[in-house]
Amino acid sequence: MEKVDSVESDEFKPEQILTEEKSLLERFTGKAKKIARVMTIVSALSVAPGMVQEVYAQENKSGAKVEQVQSNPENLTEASTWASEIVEKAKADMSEIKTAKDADALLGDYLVQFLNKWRFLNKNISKDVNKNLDKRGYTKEDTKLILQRSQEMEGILDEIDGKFGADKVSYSRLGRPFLKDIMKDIEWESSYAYKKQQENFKRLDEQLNKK
Amino acid sequence: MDNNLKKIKELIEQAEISENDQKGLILLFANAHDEDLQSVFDLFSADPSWISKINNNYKAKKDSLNTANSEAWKRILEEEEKQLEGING
Repeated sequence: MEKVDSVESDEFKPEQILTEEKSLLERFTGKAKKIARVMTIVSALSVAPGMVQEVYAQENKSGAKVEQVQSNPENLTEASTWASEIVEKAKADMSEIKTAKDADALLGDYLVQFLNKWRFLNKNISKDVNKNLDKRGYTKEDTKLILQRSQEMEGILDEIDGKFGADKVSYSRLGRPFLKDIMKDIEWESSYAYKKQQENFKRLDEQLNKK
Repeated sequence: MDNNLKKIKELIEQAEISENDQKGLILLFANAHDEDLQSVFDLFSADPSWISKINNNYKAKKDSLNTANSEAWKRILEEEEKQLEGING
């Protein structure tokens, strides 16, 4: 029977991997030795329990617990109305789509508008797109709405890909990763893990500023 | 006390990595004893380009640990060796 390499390993034990790394990097000298030491510190801290676990959640955005996506219209601001306008127009135009070329034209207009709106609203705030949504003047309801509309836009892409094939509609293929990035950013900043991370960071800041 | 952490935090906040990555890295080092962070401060202050490299190293390790992926961990160690050999060489 063929041996199957298992990714999940019972032998993947923190103490063991730390020892292995340490012995592997021990042979280095000079500057390399200093860097090796930092690498092993990073490993040791990474496997440590406690606060690091909070940090783990940061990268695991897809697993982050997201609050209810449905937004309450009463708490929306003008900052997010673009998301609804664009998606509603795209939905309305879907009935006219007969070919892959039509679909490409639709996404070339509405999906690109959607992505550009998001990017444009971010570019004066920071070069880092994934950065504090509240600084853009969005309420919590706004971000829920944009997430909801992003999901609906993704639904349009799914429908188009299902009809014509993803490889036939270039804007679907090219735009989908950017759309997913928007959703990941919002999901992350709406999550409990993000809230806890912010609290930890605030506490850390206060501790450091006391000194 | 916590002198190294404070200095490391300032260096990380100036680094060309995302704000979330900055925070993640600072919180990681906040778990260490301050005296253990001397080598981290020495490296980051002498050559800030290592902040980004160590950040990538940390993220890769997190992914590997989160999924208990020993193969990925081996690849990280190989990459570390390669980086360090480049410096020693």
